[in-house]
Amino acid sequence: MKYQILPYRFNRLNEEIFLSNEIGEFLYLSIDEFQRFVEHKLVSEDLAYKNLKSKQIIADNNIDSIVEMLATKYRTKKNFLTEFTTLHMVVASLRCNSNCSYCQVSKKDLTDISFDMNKKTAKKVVEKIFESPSLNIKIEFQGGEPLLNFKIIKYIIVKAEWLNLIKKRNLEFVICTNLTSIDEKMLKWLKGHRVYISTSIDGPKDLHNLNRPLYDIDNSYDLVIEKIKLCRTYLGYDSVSALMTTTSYTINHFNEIIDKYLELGFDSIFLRSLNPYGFAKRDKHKLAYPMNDFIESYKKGLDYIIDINLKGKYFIEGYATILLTRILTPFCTGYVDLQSPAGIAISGVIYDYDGDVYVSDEGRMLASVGDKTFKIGNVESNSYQEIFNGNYLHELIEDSVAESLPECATCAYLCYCGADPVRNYSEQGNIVGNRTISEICNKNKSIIMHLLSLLQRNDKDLNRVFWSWITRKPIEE
Amino acid sequence: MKEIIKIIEKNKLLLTVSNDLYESNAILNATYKFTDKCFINIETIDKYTEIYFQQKNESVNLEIIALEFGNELIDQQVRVNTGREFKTIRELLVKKAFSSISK
Repeated sequence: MKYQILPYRFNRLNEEIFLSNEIGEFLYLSIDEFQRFVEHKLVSEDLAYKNLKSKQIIADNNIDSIVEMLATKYRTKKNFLTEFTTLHMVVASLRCNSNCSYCQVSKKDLTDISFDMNKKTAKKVVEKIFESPSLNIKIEFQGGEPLLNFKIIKYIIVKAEWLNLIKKRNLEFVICTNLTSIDEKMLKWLKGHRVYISTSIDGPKDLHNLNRPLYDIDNSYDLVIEKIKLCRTYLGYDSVSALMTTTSYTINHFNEIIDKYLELGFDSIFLRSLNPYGFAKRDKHKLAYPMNDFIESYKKGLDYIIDINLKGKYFIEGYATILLTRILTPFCTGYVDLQSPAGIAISGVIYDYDGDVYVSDEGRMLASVGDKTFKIGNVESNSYQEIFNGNYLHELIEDSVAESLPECATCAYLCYCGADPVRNYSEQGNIVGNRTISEICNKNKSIIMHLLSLLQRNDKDLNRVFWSWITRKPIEE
Repeated sequence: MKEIIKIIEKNKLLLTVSNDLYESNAILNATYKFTDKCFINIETIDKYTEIYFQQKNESVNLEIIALEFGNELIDQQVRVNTGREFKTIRELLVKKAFSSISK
């Protein structure tokens, strides 16, 4: 049978061949079917032939229109490129009242206000943000603990809102905070400014306090819980989200952590591994664990969450939801850590307290220990064009196109994954990295393969759970 | 297959593959996958390519490496063969996808 093979990639998975095309549509073939496929020996009556044709991996006529259709879908998958920078992270202060074991930003002393962003720098930051062509602008305040410099948060929010009267972007604010210093006066002010709160809960009281003690007291947990309630009262129940970070202390306690999130009224959790930056890297002998241990704990945690959903409680695992959205829908997810080319500066960017601009949060984490490899400029001394259209950023992005990276280029999971040059640099000392020893490749690939194996079961109830996560709606009765 | 495998020392393995069957791209891509376990050196001699694997540590089983490499090489050559068939279409697809913003 004469047919044209269209762009596809394949990997061996569970004794079968997993094939995906450029836009992430996929199917499985037996080894025999695959052999006949590549040798052009399939005939139109074969089920494999029909499936390959429906997934646009082969075509026997109308090739031009199929390429046109694939191109449209490809553009949708890469839509983040046309949006340009939507996430603008601003470090209001590097001071912090927490004493987290894994602090990735190497926080500064509580009393040293030289690590606070000043008004002059903040003004320039906001001006730069609004030079971005993106229709959607999210300003995310980071630290240290950003609320320790609340006056600059207020200044930036007001300044951004004023500028937006003319620019008319979809503007949103998020404060990433340990919440311990938030009070009613702050919340009354924030209430009128469309601000969301992102905080950290690492699990039940004992685990949370082990990972995240405060500077002066060990028990930060009770205070955070009290402040979550206060935020919900002023800003609305869904205005607060939480993140967890896994350390060696918590890696074997995912079920308890998930139960705690449920008890606190959250409808999602993001089972997040430790990032090797700052104190997390310095103290890895105490805090880190082999990535394979995380992967196994993640799978068990995911099973536990799926079971909770099957019993009727809607509760999302964030990372799986991002990957499933990529696997099962034509859309890109906007998750900056998994994009190709990498989301560095073109999807998200961070402005440090002193106006230095880094391609990502992880880039400034490296800078906090003296390595400014990923600095692309300064808001006071560089123009927008110099920062976001400079040769250096171009080079970094060229080296982070997964489609051209060794091993990624032929990986069938590429369309669900992405490049992470900062992580490669931190782990291996170069931004291209070697996939065979990459921890992040191991993690992404293993979790993607696990999800694909779950989908391969074609279990109706399981698929309903996954679609409820993707659509962010509870399973209908 | 056995005849093309030669253990030259306790921790070194030599594999010889035919250049008529396998292209250099396929050989390079296949060897890349083993760079975490072995130090690798590649030489081309007439119609053959010789690939030297040296284990990075004692836990690496060179017999298994040889067997896995054989399979990997086939997969990589299939990628090269079918990739050649759709190379132009892939380029056209990407070009069309971004035509509206490249003007």
